[in-house]
Amino acid sequence: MGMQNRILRVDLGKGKATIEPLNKEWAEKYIGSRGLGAKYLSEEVDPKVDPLSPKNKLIFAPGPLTGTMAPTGGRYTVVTKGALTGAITTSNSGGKWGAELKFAGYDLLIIEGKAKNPVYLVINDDDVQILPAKGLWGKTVWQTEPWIHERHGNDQMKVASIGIAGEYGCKFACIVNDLHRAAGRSGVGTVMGSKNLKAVAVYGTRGVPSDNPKKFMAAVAKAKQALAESEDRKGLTSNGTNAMVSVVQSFGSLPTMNNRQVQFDGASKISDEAMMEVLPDGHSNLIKNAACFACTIGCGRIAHVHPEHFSVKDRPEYHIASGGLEYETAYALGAMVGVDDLDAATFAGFMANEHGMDPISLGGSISAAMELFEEGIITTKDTGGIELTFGNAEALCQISEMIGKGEGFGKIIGMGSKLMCAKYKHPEFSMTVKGQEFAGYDGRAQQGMGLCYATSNRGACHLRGDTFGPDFENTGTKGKALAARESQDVITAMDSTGMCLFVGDAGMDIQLMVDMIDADVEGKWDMSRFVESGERTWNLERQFNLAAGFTMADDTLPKRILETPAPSGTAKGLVSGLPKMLPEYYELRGWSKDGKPTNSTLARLNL
Amino acid sequence: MKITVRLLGKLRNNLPAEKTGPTSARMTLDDGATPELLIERLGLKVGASYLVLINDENVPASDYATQAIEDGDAVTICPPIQGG
Repeated sequence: MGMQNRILRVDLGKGKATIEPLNKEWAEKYIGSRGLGAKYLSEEVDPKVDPLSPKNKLIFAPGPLTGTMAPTGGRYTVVTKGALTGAITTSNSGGKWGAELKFAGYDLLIIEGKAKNPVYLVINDDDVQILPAKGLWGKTVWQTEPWIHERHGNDQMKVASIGIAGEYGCKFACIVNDLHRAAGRSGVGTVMGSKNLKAVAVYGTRGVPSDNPKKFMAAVAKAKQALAESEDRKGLTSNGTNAMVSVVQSFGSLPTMNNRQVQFDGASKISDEAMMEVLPDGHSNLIKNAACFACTIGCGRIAHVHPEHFSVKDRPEYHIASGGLEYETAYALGAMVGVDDLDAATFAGFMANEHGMDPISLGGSISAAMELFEEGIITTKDTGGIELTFGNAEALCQISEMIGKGEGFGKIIGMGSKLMCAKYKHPEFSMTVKGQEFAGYDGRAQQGMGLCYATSNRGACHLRGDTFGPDFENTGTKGKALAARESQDVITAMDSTGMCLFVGDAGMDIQLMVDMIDADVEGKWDMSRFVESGERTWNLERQFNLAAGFTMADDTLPKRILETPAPSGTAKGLVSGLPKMLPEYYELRGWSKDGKPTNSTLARLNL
Repeated sequence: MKITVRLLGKLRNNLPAEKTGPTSARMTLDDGATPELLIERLGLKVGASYLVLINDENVPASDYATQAIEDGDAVTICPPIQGG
């Protein structure tokens, strides 16, 4: 219960869709969403497979709480072997699409094979159609949803699609649902494009059952009350995640100009306050906040670019309200590229949503290209005349659009910074782990976050471990390995429920999430079983990556972070203490000295 | 003694009355005040995780009760929120 106990399997090669029972034994061990998706992937996909091969699978996985009244119960995870990394990736998204898939009666959608020609999928409860994408392939994300609504006469269909970036094979293409929410990282959109799958449109009319509805609703009421009363939640509602810019700027962990710096002079111009500032003509970047399905936090931002700004001045089609800057977008399309132009960063964010690109990897790849340019390794001959220098807002806007459309030098940057920097024989300019670009925290100042980047199963990621508290308390390495390991397990379990990770940041006790799971799904769930499930999934993901060919040598950070001291801020003079933290981390994980789960750890976790 | 206090993120709701900007204000404190005392004075949760800087220098949590704040100091307090 909480589960529909059905999965939908679509073989694009054979043009066949089948409904099968959910493996309940797996659900008992892995909960749902990220955990369950990872289990299905590891059972059904050879870890050595090429991510763009028809043998890779693309799994859309809501959780037991998705589509219920649990606050923030709208998340789903896309699970696949990532095109950007070659590692298992579990890419989480919000919006409304995940809930709709549950309403249609499915716990998982598994996409297999490759269609001969571009197609899109339409799911209306049990009716599943694989339709030719003639007239749809080549459209942007923002054109795709209305096209499908009109074609099928139902504007309540929820649409998840790729943009042109996913079609041409940009390595960090994402899957966008509901116009500006995304399963962003690791090239899940690239995998979708490789299958010739343009979009999945879904509409459902079923309810979502609960094992103990009365107990569930009592737990839901408590959770909603906790969020309503929380000062942390109020802050997220009013200011969004971009309140983080001034925090990391003060601390000195804001990656700036490809991590050359850790503080950005223009930080205040791309902050949450800048978004809310009302200009003399009455315009402000921020229009309002936005919430995903069942979310009572509403951290999303809806923004618009000033109509006189160079990026949109003669382009009325961009005089629109759309997804505004979150913290990661402000970092990646602001500080990381040295741009302090709020509207330019917002426009570049629009390009990421419209064309379906991960804005974090977009910014990290552009910043690497900027460094190549400033070092004279590439010139305007390579870039088609664009002065790709740090801080060039016009260049940022122009190149973001070109990357989205696969035009000119944009296609080269679309390889991702690792392949691009290797192409120009300067791998040291790629700020990545396992091929994935850094998020907005520098590992020299936030030591625990550096360890989290290095050990995340999907490459550099800020959402796989939470060491913020200890990192801000001290810039040393003590206690960070334990904080990383413990938070990774809890987060993995949270990611498997269908609720949003931000409930923790919004001041809700995680015990309330466990209480909702206990009431909603069969069996007895307590914190211990919940966290153990997270640990199990973490180790499962690790096993997949080891079998794919990753080793402890990949649990590392770029040379810049390991060897070049932070130039300013609270961690001035420090490098990452990863060599000290990693052995302790492996030991705490119950892994061997070379980072492999031991037999006793695997046995304890029933792996 | 007089200091400037800067509260970032959601903490700005606790700014004292004499504001100098959206995230900053002037405050008068007794001599010998410490970050711990300031946190209490501002109505913030004592014992919670914060980032505290005095004149842009980080103050480790272990020093909150002992680090002296001096006349004219600029003290920044922010929460360890996570961005997305």
